[in-house]
Parts: sequence; C-alpha cells; structure tokens
Amino acid sequence: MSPREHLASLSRPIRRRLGLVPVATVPPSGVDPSLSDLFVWRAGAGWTTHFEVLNLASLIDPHTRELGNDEVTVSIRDENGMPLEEVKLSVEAGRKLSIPISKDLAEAGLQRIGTFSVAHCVSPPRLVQFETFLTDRGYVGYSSPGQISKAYVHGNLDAIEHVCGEINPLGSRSFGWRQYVPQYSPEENVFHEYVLANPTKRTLHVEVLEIDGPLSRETARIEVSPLGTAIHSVHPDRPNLRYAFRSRLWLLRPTIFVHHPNGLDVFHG
Amino acid sequence: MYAAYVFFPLLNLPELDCKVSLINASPNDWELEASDAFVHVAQVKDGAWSVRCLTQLPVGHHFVVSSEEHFSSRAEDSVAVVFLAPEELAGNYRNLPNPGLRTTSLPQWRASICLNRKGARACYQGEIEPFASRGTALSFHPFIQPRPFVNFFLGINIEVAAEHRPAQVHISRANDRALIATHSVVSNSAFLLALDNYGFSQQDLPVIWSADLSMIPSGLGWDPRSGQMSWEHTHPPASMTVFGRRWEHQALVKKEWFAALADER
Repeated sequence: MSPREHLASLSRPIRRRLGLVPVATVPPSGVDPSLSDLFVWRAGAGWTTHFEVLNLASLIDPHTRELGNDEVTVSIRDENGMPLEEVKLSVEAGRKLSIPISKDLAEAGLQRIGTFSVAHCVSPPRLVQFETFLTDRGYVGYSSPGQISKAYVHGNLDAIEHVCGEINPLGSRSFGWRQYVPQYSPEENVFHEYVLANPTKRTLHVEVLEIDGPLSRETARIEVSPLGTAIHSVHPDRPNLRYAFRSRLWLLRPTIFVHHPNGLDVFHG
Repeated sequence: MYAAYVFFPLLNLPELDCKVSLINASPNDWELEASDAFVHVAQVKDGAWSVRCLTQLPVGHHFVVSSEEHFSSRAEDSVAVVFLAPEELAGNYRNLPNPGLRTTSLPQWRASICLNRKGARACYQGEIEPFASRGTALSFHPFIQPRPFVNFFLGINIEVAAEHRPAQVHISRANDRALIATHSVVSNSAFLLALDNYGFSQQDLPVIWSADLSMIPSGLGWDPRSGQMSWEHTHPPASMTVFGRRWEHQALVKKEWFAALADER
C-alpha cells in the first residue's frame, strides 16, 4: 500500500485530526454546545459596531416560545484574543436586540479591533434527534467614522464552541499550506482593509500575496493570535489586482472593508 | 470534480446600477485549476432563455458586466444571469442551460455583485443556483434601521424554466405571527419590497416567506443624508444549525412556520 493509499484508508476523524480532510470547522465535542462565528468588532476613532441578537431557538422551533426568553452571553476579546468582557442579555421569543458592542469598549479607551462570539442558553431539544447543533452566524452592523447608518455583514464561519462556560475554537487546520483568494479585485485608489480572524488554538501565520495577471509576489506576513484578529490594508495603485491569503487553514476568508467617499462597503470574501 | 450549476444575478432595479465582476480564477489552490472560459448573459424573453456570449475570458482575467450596458431600460426584466461556460453558447433555450463549468466547493465559486447608487456602493460575493419551481422561502429579517434610513427587502429568484410564474410573498411579524402584507411577484425576477410603512419597531423581527417561491432573501437600504448603503442576505433556517441532518431539519422548520403563519392569515 502506498503512503497515499495508507492515509486514505484511515478513518475520517483521524484524517480530519491530521488536517487531511478539507473542512472549515471540526465538529464540537461538548454536550449541548452553542456554536458561534468569530465576529469582528471595531471601536474608537469614530467606529461603531452593533450585533443583532436573535432568540435563535424560537426561530428554529416556533414551539419553543413557551420556554420564554433566551439568555445570551456575548464574549468580547481584544485583537490578541484575550478576554475583555462578557455581556449578558435576555431576548424574547421572535424578537431581536441590537446591541452596541463597541460602546463600552470605546468608553473604556479601547480602540481599533478585536473579536467576539455569542452563546445561547436555550437550544431546542429536538436538535439532538437531528444530530445538529445551534449556531449563531448572525449579523454585524458597522458604522465607519463620519457615518451614522450601518453597513451589515453576516458571519461566515462556525468557529467557536461554547459549552459550560468554556470556549473551544473549532477552526480546522490543514496538513499543508492552503491559499484562499477572494474573487474580488479592489478598485484602484480606494482604501481597503482585509480583516482576518483566527478560529484555532494556535497562532496563525499568514502570507499575503499580491496577484497581478500571471505574476504574484509576497507583500506581507501576518501573525494572528488564537481567537484574535489582524488587518491587512491595501490602497491599490492600479486595477485588476487581487490578494491571496496563504495559511494552514482550509478556508481563511477575510471580512473586507472598502472605504468609499460616500460610505463604507463591507462584505466577506 | 464538481459541475455546479452556478450563475450570478445581474439586477435591473429602480435607482440602482448593478455590476457583476467575474474573475476567472479559482478561489483556492487545492480543488481545481481554472480554465479559459466564455462570459455569457441570459435573460427570459418571450418564453425562452435568450443566451448570448459576451467575451472570452482567459484564466486570471477579470470582466465586468453592468446593468447599464445590458438592459435597455428599467422597464425591462428585473434580472438577468451571468455565467462562465467552457464553450461559446448562444440562442434560445426552454430551460436555463447548464454551463458545464467545474467549480469549487470550499468556498463556492463566486463573483462580486455590487449595487451602486449616487456614488455609494454595496457588494456581496455571491452566486445563485437555479431553484426548483414551486420552492419555498423563509427569512428572518434583522436589518431594519431607524428613519431616515430607507429599508427594503430584496428577493431574487432564478428557476430553470423560462417563465414568469406568478407567486406570493408574505410579510409577517415573528413574535406574534401577525400577517402584515402580501405581495404578488413572479419567478425569474428580482423584487424590492419597501418595509418602512409597516410600523416595525427596532425590536421587531419581520418574517418574509413564500409557500410557492424560493429566493435569495436580502436586506437592502440607504441613508438619504449620506448615501451610505447596506446590502446583506439573510441565512436560510438551515444555517442556524450545523452538522448532522440540518437540511432535513430545515424542512421541518419551514413546515412548522408556514403552519403557524398561515393560521394568522
């Protein structure tokens, strides 16, 4: 049996642990976990970040409204992934709360950027029957300096497991280096920020490549702390450039902030 | 490896210009390599998908299709689809042709779809796979911002058959399931539903649903003071759970919500 055949014969869980299975997220291991994206907050210097908290259980199972409010915990971390604070709130069935993630941070003099995740206390019991887990991939609204209204973007990766007050990253690391290239070409002379978040337990080393037609060259190396975040800024001086991100993640998909004169545009790759 | 049936919507909507930016390059370096392809646009005309080839697009190259160039007027159809195919296609088709182009899965092959209004812009990286006829939709809409922000629901439907099949889209309120409004729409269209006249509070969660039309549901709006725009699609109910038999669970979620919402009609 060749080495490739030997590896292919291993069970999927073992191949996944070895980084041989292309998945973005590994399954949670806890009992009755609540999963969440690793969202990005921005604060200070005129930035605001809001998160739309929904009572997810009442949306997944309309009969759970009899269970009452969902108790939600928002865990906020700095750009190095270190815990800053927890916000606890209660959301009625079928309703939403728009919470200003950045408000307390800015008042405390904390600026720039960090991450947060959201845990829900109430989960419909029948999810066990379908062997599936509740996850919050919800909606973040950003206002850039000088703007009042928000530009929304949703979460794009089931990155964090909350169970019994513990937080467990679920990002899947690859055996080798993998490249992700947003199918987006930034406009020349417009300021762009590619914001990366690390949903794993280990520091993420990232190589940034600038692609110009058939040519590519490395333009930056970034380290992102576990559960932390980092920004790669570009101000293209010519059209048709693209930016690739090489790392040990199967899918390192940035949130892209575009600063136009008439407002912010934000989307994920 | 995959022959996903992937298209990109080009929207023809009031006050908005749409651009679809295609890049003929794979989003990852481990699934497949891109190959030279041709850019096409297709639109329902006189009971058929009218397909025309715009240009060849070599690997690594970039092409923009704009609504301003494609649609002759706002009175024309509200949506066309852009796609890449390995060979040149042209003509009229009863069903939307399968482009036959191999695409990726992690992530899916995407294009940048952007809406521009008075110098402001909102984009998302997306794609659309044609829906089954008489599909269903259930969307919880968290995007309403306070006045003077102008709030819309934007629904996009593309189906294989070249027809404008009538359907209904309803707006309800999630906490009390009250039916707020019903709108008549057609398949193979993009439609804007204004949300500001229904009295939704900031804590309300509108539910936009249909028992006979699938769609990509999204929230679109702008601030008339500054021009700032927002455009993001909502997750289907299946995205509120992960792993396991979540699509089977989604079918149950839709069934229960449709029963609960229909009771309040």
